[in-house]
Amino acid sequence: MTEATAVPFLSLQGVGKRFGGLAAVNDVSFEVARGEVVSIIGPNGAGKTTLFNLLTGQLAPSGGEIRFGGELINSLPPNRRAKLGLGRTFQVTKPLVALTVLENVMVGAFLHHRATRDAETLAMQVLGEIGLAHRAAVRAGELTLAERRKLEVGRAMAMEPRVVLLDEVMAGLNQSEVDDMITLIQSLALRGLTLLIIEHNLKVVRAFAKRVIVMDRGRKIAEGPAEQILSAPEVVTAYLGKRRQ
Amino acid sequence: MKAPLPVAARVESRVVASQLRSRRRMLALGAAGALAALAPLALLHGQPFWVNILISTYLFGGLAVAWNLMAGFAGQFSLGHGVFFAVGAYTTARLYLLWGVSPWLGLLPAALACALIGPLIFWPTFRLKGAFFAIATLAFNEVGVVCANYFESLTGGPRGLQIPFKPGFAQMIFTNPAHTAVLMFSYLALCVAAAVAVRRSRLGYYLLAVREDEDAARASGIDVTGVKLRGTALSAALTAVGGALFVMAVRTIDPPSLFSLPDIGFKFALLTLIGGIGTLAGPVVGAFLIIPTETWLRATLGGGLPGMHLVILGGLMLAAALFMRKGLVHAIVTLVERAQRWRTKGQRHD
Amino acid sequence: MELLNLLSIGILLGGIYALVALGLNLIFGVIRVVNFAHGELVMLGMYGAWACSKLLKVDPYVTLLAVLPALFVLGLLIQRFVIQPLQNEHMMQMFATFALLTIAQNAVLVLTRGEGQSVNTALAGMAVELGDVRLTATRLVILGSVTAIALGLHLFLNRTLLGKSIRAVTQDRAAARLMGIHVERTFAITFGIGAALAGLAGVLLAPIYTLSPGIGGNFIFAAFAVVVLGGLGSVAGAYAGGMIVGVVESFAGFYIDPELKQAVWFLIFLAVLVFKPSGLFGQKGAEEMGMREQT
Repeated sequence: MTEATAVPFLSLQGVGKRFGGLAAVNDVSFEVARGEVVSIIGPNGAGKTTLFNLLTGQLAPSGGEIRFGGELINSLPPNRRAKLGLGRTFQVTKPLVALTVLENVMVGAFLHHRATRDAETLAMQVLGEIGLAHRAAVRAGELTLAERRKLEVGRAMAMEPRVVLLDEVMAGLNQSEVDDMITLIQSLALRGLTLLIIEHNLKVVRAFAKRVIVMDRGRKIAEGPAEQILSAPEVVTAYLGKRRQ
Repeated sequence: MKAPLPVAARVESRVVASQLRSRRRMLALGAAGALAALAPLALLHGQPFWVNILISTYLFGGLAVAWNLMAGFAGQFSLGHGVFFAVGAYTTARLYLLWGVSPWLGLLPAALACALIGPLIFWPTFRLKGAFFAIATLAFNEVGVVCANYFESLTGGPRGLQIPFKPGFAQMIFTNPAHTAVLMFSYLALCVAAAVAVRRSRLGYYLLAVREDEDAARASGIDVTGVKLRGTALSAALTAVGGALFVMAVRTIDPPSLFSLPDIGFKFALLTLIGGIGTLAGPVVGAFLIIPTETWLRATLGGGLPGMHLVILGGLMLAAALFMRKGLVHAIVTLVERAQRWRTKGQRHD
Repeated sequence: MELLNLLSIGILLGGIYALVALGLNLIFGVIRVVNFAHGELVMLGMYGAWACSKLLKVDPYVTLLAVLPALFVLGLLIQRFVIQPLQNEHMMQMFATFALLTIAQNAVLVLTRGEGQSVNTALAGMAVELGDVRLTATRLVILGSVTAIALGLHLFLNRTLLGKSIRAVTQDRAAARLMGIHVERTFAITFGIGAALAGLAGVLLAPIYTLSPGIGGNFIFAAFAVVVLGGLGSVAGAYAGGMIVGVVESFAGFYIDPELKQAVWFLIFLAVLVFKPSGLFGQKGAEEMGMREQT
């Protein structure tokens, strides 16, 4: 894998988001190197998805700086960040329901390919890679959950991103679907894509992430190599509560 | 994507083959559609009653296609398109009456004006959704009426504008109504061609994405506002051209005739919804269904009992809304798909 | 005392607008459907008052007893058979209400053969004089009624169980359903009440206007402007909004060109939608709700 360059690929400094009196994300700082796979874990309500929304521009930060490739992107709208190479999936999938699977992925492919023919070719290629080529002509509204999840990933892949933010892509999938998705994510990592993965499934976290960041109640409470983090006491407490004597 | 995968070559050839097939299919469908639309004119060109119906059908079919670009593709249900229609009509008429500018040329500044100001006036309303957007654009239409009545020097005020009958190709005034019908058919063909081109282009896909889910669209790199503005500009320009053709065909316009909701503003929606909003053929099918029906009803019932034909038309509209919720084209496509599924099920048992 | 005259005209006019807007506010605010036929419900109330008072030889105000229940039932039927089935096709839904408008207007046209009708009441011609200002009795009745109705509606929505379930459904259908509220039935009753209020407006307005099938159009735009200005779902908003629109229209008609007076409604309307879509008293973000897919 590539080593961290002098300028961190993605960096957050003191990033926060307040909704009225509630700090959904509070003073979070970390850096991600190019090609790294980092996992973000934490109990429900910890602010993980809000953090993703801040990264992609869905929400504007109340404080702090977000830098991508050294550039400050705080004020860029989501579509500009996508153009810079920031791709994402949504926790509750957002397929373009009335369009076919192929057309959904083409929407992503059009980002860097103006001509319909090129976008279609790229989209078919992506469909082959994610294993949905046989469903190309099906309306996205008729897909199963696992297929919708893959479609989300496919649409992001077609954008030829440099970073992909995966938001709980395993949620609700059965074991064989999880294995399928793991293979897919592995292929992304092998290509040298930088990945940020929000995940509850710790088996998946262990399979991928070199580094794990733990969030609880809006704050980053731990960061480090996966093995070390996953057995640290404050992490266990955050998930399971204090051990009663 | 980094290294090309071995499957890519096979995928590429499959895609190109399917694109060729679909383009050929599209051309074939287009030719068939054009022939079907022209056939009535060929058959009935000697009967003024029916030719006039065809004139309206072609014109409003084109207007509905233009409206569908915004409402069907982008999902913005506009009731303010009467404004573009009126601008097209007034501009062309005024240029002709004041300086003798041929309507063929006069429609260009009209279209351009709408392409520029249309997005501008709609822009503040873009963040409104659904019903709110609809009634905001309705307000535009009503402000339009007031302005048209007030600015007499431009629009002729409540009396409107009249264009004297001086036939000639340059004036777009024809003695033979069949020629006017051909003109209107060309307009319809232009609008359909534009719609097809948009649908197959990046703008078309982006419009649909914006309609389906704005957040997902943004995350895919789409400039949502920019896309809506471009869709509005095209829709407005085409509608203005329709207005220009309208004024030269009827040669008398006034605020009620241009801004009337049942006859103009809402009619675009009516034709498109009945036919199938968001589809390519829907607005055209809707026009061919509704306008002859409406005219025939008015002709047979209008004299005796004023308003009766509208009661029946309203009833038909209501029935269509309740029983063909997604429009006629969708209903037909569903039937065809169901029939195909029956066929393949039968075929699989051998 | 031009100012006082204009003000009083504006307030009385405002009362009329608020009256029509109260029903529309309920329907638009709760069910989130643009009922293009609302003006026609008012018109049907007016014609109902005329027909009943002619047939039964009673003062038009008494016809309330017949017109209100009739329109309530009509509202229930419209919601159940037209609005409800189209809840996932919003554009078709709007279109269907427009079809209802067409049917209603033209049915009345056919039945009355286009002759204007007028309604006579014992109160006609009576007025109260306050200095230079002349307040006609019929309009004062409207002002008094709308104030009473607004108060009553407010109490209904806040103190009764049915009223609270209507408010719950306005805010979050899914959550209301989970609380055991029968959403569809609540909608039907709401539409019924909204239609009844429109009918009430019709009865009270009948002595003031010459009846014609298209008269609904006189009120519908102002009513939409009021509802948007006041804020969706807010009774106080509909009341205050009505007064504001009435007064602004009265002054605009006098100081600016009377021809441009009509544009006032739309400009207010557009300004509110663009700058503060939730209106004066409405909930922030309320205009977003109900536009998304609902379970």
